Amino acid sequence: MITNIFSFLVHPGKGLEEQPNIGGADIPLNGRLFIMLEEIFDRSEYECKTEISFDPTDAGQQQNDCRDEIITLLQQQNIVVARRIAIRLQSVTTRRSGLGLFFLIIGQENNRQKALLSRFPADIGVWAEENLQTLRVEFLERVFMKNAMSYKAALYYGESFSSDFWDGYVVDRQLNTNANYWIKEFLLSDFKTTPAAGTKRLAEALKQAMNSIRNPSAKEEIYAAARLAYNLDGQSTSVDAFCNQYNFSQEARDAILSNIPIDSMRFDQFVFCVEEFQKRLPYRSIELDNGAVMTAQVRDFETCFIKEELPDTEGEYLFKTQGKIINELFRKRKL
Amino acid sequence: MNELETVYKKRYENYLQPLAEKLEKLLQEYFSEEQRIDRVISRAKSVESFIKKANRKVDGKQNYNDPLNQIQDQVGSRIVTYYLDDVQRIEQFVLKYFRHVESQDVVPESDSEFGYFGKHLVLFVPNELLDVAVSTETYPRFFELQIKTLFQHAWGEANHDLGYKPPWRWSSEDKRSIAFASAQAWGADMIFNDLYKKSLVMERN
Repeated sequence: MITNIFSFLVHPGKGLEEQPNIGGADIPLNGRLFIMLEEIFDRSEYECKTEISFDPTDAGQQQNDCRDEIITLLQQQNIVVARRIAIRLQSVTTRRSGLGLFFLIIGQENNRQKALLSRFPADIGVWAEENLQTLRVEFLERVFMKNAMSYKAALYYGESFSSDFWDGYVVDRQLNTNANYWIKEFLLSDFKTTPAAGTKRLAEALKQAMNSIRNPSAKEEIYAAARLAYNLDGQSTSVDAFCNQYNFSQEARDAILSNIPIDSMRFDQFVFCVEEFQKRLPYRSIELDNGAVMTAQVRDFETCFIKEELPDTEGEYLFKTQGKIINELFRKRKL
Repeated sequence: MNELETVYKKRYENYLQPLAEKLEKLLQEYFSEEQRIDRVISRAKSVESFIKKANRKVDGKQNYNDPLNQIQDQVGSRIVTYYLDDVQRIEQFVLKYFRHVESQDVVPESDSEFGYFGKHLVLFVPNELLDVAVSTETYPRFFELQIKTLFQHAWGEANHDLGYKPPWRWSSEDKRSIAFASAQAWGADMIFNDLYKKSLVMERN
């Protein structure tokens, strides 16, 4: 049940020495706007899927200014506190991000306190009014659309103000761009899954999938994706997004996703870390039925070994490699 | 047995002990290739320790009004390493994989005192260790990770054992002896850390 809604028009204010005050509105809990916001509030738990958590202070203490403001808002439920949060958003909003309409929706569900912070980007539009014989159209400069690419929301819920509200969920369709000021600068937070932990999970799922499936073309898909993954360094992704990005066949996709410990974790967003990926998936090996084993670094395998399909054979290949011998070993295990 | 004790006992047996085991395994896997790790251990806070902490008073007031949610070391882990300089390295390694809400150097209140030393982190329990069949309200959201040198660990264990058992109060001289032992451990850490740094320089030359 929604108990309060506050709204503010947030201008770009990043870099300004003093933030101009923002006028705001206490939105009535009835009418068409309320119905639309109520639907957004109710759907927020399905929409906001990316887990984030607040950062501690630089000195490592368990305190975060943004978390404190959200808790104060939930406790006091007044426009003065809501305005402080809106001014915080204004102070990190760049000209590129532009004007936004900011809603703070507060409510209660069972024993849980719930806060949804959502920003609708400004757009341009055309207003049309049809009479019996005429059509009147006008250019509109400030239209706020939820479906636009830069819609953002953050959801927090919990029972205890002292121990809960350290993590939350966001939707941010600009996660892959520099515009993720929403998480880092405004919410003073970061993805709950660290770059190394998320990349380790992805790499291990790829490795286990590669080792478990038999179909050579599905194996080839996974290898190709692993090689291309080296270009993702620093980009936000998730296991699910990775599978979509490389357009895996159903077999390869199922094999990868079945190696994620908890299914919902495939949506966890993280920043891809190439260093961790290389640590977890350093080498690719191919074993032939003649007893040969070829191993090289994942990203260099195709330059180390040239593969040619032999005509008139049942899936036989000729592999060529060239280089100086720098070592020779006896090994107990083949791979 | 009061209600808090009943609830915690059930949580301890059903969730905290299995979680501590899984956490220990996970941390051991992470640290299997790291150098100078003496041990990685995890434990669930015993019912007795939890109740004692939950009832703790500060300035005559209850320190916790919602201990089941507020006490963050219901599951605790410890990584023991060799040298003081390793503590920071291990902390950085931990923070690569775990999100934290707190990182503190726990030291005696006054610079001229000796007692407990250690690095304490409060970390989110990783999602992969949460049992999907169990409500998140039943699980603790955080665990405490301590990073200690061998000497800090040794002093801490003995101090804990001696300090938690007796129904009597230690005399001033006994307390000074405990602080002296801490000072000895502190000195040993300094000496070994200096020798370790010297060994690195000599190795390079």
